[in-house]
Amino acid sequence: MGADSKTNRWLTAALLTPTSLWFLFLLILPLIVILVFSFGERAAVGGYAGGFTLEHYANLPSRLKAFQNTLIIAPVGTLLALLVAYPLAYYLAVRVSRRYKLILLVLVIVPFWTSLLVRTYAWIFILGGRGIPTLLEFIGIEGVRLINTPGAVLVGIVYGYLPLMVFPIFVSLEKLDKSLLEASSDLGGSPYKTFTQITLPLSMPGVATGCMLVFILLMGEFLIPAFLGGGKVFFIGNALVDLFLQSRNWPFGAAVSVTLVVIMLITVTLYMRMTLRGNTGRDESLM
Amino acid sequence: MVDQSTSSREIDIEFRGVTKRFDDVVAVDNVSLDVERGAFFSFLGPSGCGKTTSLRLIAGFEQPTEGDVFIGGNSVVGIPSHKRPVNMVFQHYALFPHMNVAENIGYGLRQRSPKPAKQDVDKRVDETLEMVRLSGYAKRRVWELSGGQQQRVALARALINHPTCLLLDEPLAALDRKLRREMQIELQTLQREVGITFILVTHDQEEALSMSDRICIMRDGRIVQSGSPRELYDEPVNRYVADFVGKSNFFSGEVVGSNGSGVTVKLESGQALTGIQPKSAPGLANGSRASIAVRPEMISIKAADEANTDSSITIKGQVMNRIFLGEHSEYLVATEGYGDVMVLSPKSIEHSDRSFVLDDRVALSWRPDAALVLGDA
Repeated sequence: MGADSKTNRWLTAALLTPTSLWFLFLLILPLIVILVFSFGERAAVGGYAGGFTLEHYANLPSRLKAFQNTLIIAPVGTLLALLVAYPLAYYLAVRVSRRYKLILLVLVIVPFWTSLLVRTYAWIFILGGRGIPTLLEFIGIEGVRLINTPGAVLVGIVYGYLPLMVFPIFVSLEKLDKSLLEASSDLGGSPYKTFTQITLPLSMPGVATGCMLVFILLMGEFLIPAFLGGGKVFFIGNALVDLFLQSRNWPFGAAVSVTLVVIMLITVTLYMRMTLRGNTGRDESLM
Repeated sequence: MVDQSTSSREIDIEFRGVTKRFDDVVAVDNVSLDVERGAFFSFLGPSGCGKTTSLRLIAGFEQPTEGDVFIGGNSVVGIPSHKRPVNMVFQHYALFPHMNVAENIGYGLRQRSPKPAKQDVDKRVDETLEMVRLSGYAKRRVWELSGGQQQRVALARALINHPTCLLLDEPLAALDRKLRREMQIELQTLQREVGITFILVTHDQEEALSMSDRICIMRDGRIVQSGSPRELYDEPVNRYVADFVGKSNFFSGEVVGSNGSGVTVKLESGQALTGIQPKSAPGLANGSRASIAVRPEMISIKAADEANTDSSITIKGQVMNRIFLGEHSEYLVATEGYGDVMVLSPKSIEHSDRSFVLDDRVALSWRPDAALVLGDA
């Protein structure tokens, strides 16, 4: 027994080492570097020059618009993705016969086989001047502008993030015991009441997971706003690209990054608190 | 509560020519039956015989392809389950995991419109909890309960709605043997207390025999026989029923003749045996395949040299195996020309000179009316 637990301990350590090193060098150290940079000076030719100053944090309001856009569009986009994904996941999990289920599931993933870059690019043409607006002109609606609006960015978000929302919800609906729905109906619950009292509460873990996945990724999104927002609707991610790559103001970029991380920590913690409090089931921790 | 003998024979559930097809599989095939108010009725049969589909047709989870289903005299075809006055206890209980015991039990009441007042629901829930002996468990999570307790919550959740009829889908299958026996008694008592019709689906013949007033034996979507447990046991219409309900020894062969005293069957070995036909069984023509069925407890076992004094049918054999079962012993006897025969010998007659060991030569005998001639269908 003693020898066993000793080998076990070695094995555990050996198995955990790669992950620990990964986290240390690729997550924790970079975060520390960013934190240190955020208090430093910008070198004359760009980049980082050491020192200690709070001026970059004081300068944050100059990027207020990026923060505002991100903090409004990310939650709204998450919600829209949820509204589109839930019926789809429900249909796939509850209504479709087993024969077609797999095919339809694959169809949900297929777009992921192509780069998001290419797919988002395609939306520029669909929403752009020669796309939907031209079609609308045929039926007499003129002067509609879709591209480079928050709406276009939201369309891109819902499109790009849909599978991430569909799958967790699908899984929680799929493992939902169908006899519970029959029991509810048997006890006099109309289909609507069965949905609100049984199906929806029992699929909340999937909804919570999907929303968190999409929200966290959206907070760092830069590609979709860059393509479909056309410089008018930009996220914190776009501000970071600009600061690090174009204006080479690394310390300010670092300060924006640190702020983003802090905002994420606060929102995700609050969110977890909320969903875990509502959690009443056995295995309803976030999957 | 209600004296069944004097109350008028009201029918709670009726099937008229009900057929249910799933694609090209016929689950229920032209079934007609009726269940009297206040009866404890069982569908009995192996898996896939259509018993569960029949129950689901009553509950409203399935709609018949053909025919008509009546509840309390009204046709319910096309009416969805949430509008039917019946409630079900599911095989794995189907308790709502995100609700506590009281919320589960009160679920049916809360679905009504207008919604009853909260204190009324609470009061009814408390009463029902008491009825199933779970007072004090109201706030428990359902998965914290034992199997037997979950079973009682499922019962309470159904009974609180005062259904016309309570449907039970293999309700005891998930319980261990001892608990199952207890719940059988509890179910019977409960049924007498509440006085509503119970319809049970089971593959366990012992369960059906011990609890029901009437049993309907099904095979391949059809009713093979329905009747009281005693009728099914004593007068099975064919070999299938005799085989399914209780144990039997079967001697199969061909009908060679019949007269007032019985039907004679010639076995493959050339031996002939005579038996009587159950009243309700269809007649057997000469030359048709048939089996003589003899219940193991109807056979008496004696030493081979003991004189046979009465008119019993007697065959000789040798003890192959003996299993001591407590209240009785089960012998397996290899006979000359009749195959292996099982005999149940009660402990009360198992005194020294009637107790046999391996390889003992014995004589088996039974009264002529203990042998039933049954069609092989």
